[in-house]
Amino acid sequence: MIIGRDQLQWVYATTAIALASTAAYLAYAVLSANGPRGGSAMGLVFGFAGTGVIVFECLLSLRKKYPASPIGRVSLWLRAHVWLGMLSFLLILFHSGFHWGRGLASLLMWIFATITVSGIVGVALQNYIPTRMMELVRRETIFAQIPHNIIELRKEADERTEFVTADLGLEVADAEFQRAGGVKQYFDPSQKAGAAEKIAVFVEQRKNTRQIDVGQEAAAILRSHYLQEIRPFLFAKPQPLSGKLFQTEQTLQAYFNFLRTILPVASHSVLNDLESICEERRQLGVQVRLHHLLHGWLYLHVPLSMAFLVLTLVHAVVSLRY
Amino acid sequence: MAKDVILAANLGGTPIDGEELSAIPDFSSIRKEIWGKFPGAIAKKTYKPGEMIMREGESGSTAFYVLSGTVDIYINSPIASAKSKQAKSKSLFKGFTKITSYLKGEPDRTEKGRMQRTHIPVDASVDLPMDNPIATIGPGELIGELAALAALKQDRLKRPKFYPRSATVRAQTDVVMLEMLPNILNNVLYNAPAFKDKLNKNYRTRALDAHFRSVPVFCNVSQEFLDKLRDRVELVDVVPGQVICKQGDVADAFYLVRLGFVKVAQEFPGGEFVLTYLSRGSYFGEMGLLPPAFRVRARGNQPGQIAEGALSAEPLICGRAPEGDRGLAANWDDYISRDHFQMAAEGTQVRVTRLPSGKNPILFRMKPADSFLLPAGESFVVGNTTFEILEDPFLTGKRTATCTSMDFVQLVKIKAEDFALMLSEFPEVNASITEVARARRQMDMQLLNRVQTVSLNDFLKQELMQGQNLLLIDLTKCTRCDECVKACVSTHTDDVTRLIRDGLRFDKYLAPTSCRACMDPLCMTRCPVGSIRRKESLDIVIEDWCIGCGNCAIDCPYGNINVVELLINGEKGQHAEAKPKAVVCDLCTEYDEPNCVRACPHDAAIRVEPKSFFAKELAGLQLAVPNLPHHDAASANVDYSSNMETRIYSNASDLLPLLPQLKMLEGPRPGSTLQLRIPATTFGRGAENDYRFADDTQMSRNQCRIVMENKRFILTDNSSTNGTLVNGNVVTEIELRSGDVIEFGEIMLEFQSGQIL
Repeated sequence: MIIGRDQLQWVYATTAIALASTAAYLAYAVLSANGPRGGSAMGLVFGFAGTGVIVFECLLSLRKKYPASPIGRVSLWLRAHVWLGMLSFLLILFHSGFHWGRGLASLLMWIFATITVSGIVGVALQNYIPTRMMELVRRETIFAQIPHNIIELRKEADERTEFVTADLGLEVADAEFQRAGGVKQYFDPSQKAGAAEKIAVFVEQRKNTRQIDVGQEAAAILRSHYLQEIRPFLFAKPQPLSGKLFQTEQTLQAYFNFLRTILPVASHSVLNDLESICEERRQLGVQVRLHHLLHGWLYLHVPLSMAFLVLTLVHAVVSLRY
Repeated sequence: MAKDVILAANLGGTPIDGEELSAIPDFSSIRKEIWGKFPGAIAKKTYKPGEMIMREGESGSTAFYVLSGTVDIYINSPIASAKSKQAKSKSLFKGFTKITSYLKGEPDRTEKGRMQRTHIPVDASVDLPMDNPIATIGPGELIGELAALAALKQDRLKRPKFYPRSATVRAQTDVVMLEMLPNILNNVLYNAPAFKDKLNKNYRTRALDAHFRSVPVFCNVSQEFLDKLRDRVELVDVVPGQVICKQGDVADAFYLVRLGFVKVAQEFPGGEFVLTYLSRGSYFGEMGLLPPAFRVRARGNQPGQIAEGALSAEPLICGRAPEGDRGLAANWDDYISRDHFQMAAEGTQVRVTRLPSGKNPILFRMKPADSFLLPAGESFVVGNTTFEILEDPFLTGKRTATCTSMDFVQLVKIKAEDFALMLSEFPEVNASITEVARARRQMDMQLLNRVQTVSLNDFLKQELMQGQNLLLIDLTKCTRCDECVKACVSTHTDDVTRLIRDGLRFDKYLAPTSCRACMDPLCMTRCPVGSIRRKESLDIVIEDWCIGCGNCAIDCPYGNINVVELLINGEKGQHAEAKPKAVVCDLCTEYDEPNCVRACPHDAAIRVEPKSFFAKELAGLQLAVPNLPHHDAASANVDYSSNMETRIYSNASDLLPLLPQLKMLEGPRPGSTLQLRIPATTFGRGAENDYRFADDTQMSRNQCRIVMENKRFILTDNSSTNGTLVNGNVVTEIELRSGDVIEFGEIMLEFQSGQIL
């Protein structure tokens, strides 16, 4: 959720409710003989109000499940989730009279604080990372497709290198992935046959002979660089050495500039393609990192919220019963 | 090149020579020598009962002629939506289910709003009933005509592009058929008048009735009328690319598509917009033949005294305060009685009749008259008010669109007088066809609102301009949570997403693979069963009888249609069966807005009309503009069409003065400009206006509007309280010229007509 001027009304509403609650709490704290306590009437009011908001917070995932529901857009629910979530923390603090408590109450407070902080961190990340991802990952793809794309990049790099080196002697054992949303089917047999025949001819040519003749020595240099440094980078988990070589756009460019100085001009088109492939792989790596950063906090936020809801119920039953 | 491959195909079967062919009675009029010119292009084949002759979805480019025996032609794919959702609850929980359905936002998936088609068009002389898609074909009939003729269009292709068979054909009895290559069909059989006449005669006697009745709006036409029509209709053959009727021409006939595809397009400032592609079972040409629709406009002699109403065959009561729902009130005129007179359309004119309660006379052509007929454009006077009859611009007896053949098209042409007779004899047909025309007219109006004034040729490599309704994702807001994709999956009963969150980027936006509702929907040009179509709302939908041939997916230039294996639920007791079906984003037409947009928690997903949305970015574009000095071009009387040139505009400030606009002289933000919209721009204090001046207390809620009509801009005051002034004069309606100063409320504007129109 992007925090912008369109959130002002939420800020005003939340602030107004927070101020009203604070005023009520101060009055209650001053007038109460035993000081503010969770078990007092006012303390219970704050407790129920806070719990009500927390239950509403948890309904967001249910609302997301039914996108067409007429009870407000998901974006509205998310705004309410963020702003009321922060308000609920204040209400629970008023409920507890700013005491952290012991046992279950203390555990609940720790969990709730963690949930609130993780939520705030999440919102902050959502405001920063999408823009960074747009800038840094120009060749972004669907996250789930990244392993498949890496396999395709490796195949393409193998093919391009074989234009200079001929058969690299690699075994192709990568399973074909099904495209999201289904596979296009072509019922035109001539199209299928034509494509298959063309590909077979090209593959055979590439494997048997060098399409670009740069000499035995240059081909051997490229082969060794490709197999030892470039290809290991084109895996889901790149080898550490290659990962370091291609860590940034600058180091990647420097590496290929070096190769261009030691290899003949005839091979430069292949090197340019390999550079482009490695750059795409590098960007996909950045995408993975940013994606994990963007969504990682949810692995803390969501399970703790569920646990918190259950423990709150236990806390309410135990406190009211005993 | 591709054609040569097709024409050299080996047909198999028993070779048949000219002697044998000439002995066949149907071919007796064709000279033996002609057969010799096409060796191997025709073969005789025999089939046992139950043997398959062709299967739906298979590729093919040959036609079959039935010599003896009968065959079944049917569609094997189940005509059903794939459903993977749980069945609805029993009646005990019906009330609870209704509440939960409402909360979930589930639409009412009844037949309401679905295309009320009764037959599925196939590549044969018959159509298949929707409820039981099977028919029988006997001797003398052709199957696969469209597939064969389509092959002849492939001169420019490197590889042959085969048409899929639209239906499965199986021998019912012992069958003898002639399988023929396209050249035999086109060069021999069609050139033999006797054979063509025989085919046409067969069609008239056997298929015309069924074909006519397969069109829902004609299902009520009596057998007597069809018998009368049988010999009066003309069967017309059209070659690919031929214009069948042109926008603006006088309408003289109604057409029913018998074979092939017809493109229906309208011309607007800025280019052509393809409304739809019509296939067998569709019709066109009715808009120009329907009786004209009228409106009446009442105008008093003071500014703001104006009222308008629609006229139909049902009488419209006019007066100072007419009773009932249907009435036109001229409440400013004390000389008009409460219920003064009534008006009703009669053919191409309007009848005006004074009611007994109408005290003062009606002056028509300066003479009092109690009942009279008048055509559109004429007016009459009651008291101090003038009543003018106006004509609906879309129902003027002229063609509203240009229709062009895409293939070798065969049409059934019904003359205007026969069409008029049918409408007068069958009121239900008249009502249905008027309803269809109304929907099409509504679509035209919607279209006019969408099309912009500027000529935008291929301004983006991504062809975003092709889109009418484009899904964009703001990458600075999107957290890649995929809620849009999940929403798409949950929206469709088959659990298949139509949205893939990947695609090309433009600026900070991603244009994912989701239907763009293109201006020219190429996906609709080769559907063998007519299951892909454009709705009245311009969105593309694929109907349930799709056979999964994949033509639409191949033809979509943006990869936005996919063919997927869907599990189709069979009848009770049958297992679900996987069948290929094409799926495309239907823009969630059952819902208020696309669910991908509604589900986005960050407001990153939006649906936009690209030309308006990227208006600023459009400025760096290649535009055709008049090659005139600016001060000449500013004159409204310059003929722009004669001297156009192409210029590149690199920023918005260069481009915007070329568009029609209003410059703010006085009022909020003096010096700013208001771009005029096509065809109409409205002004007022109310929120529904295009330009709203909420704080201007001197302005009415609906102050005035500027409408573009034939490159002229007409300003009309909407009966505003304080009136509208042009060049200091109070006006009710006036044609604007460049430089005119408009005043209303507390603002003053200068009209600038611009150059690009």
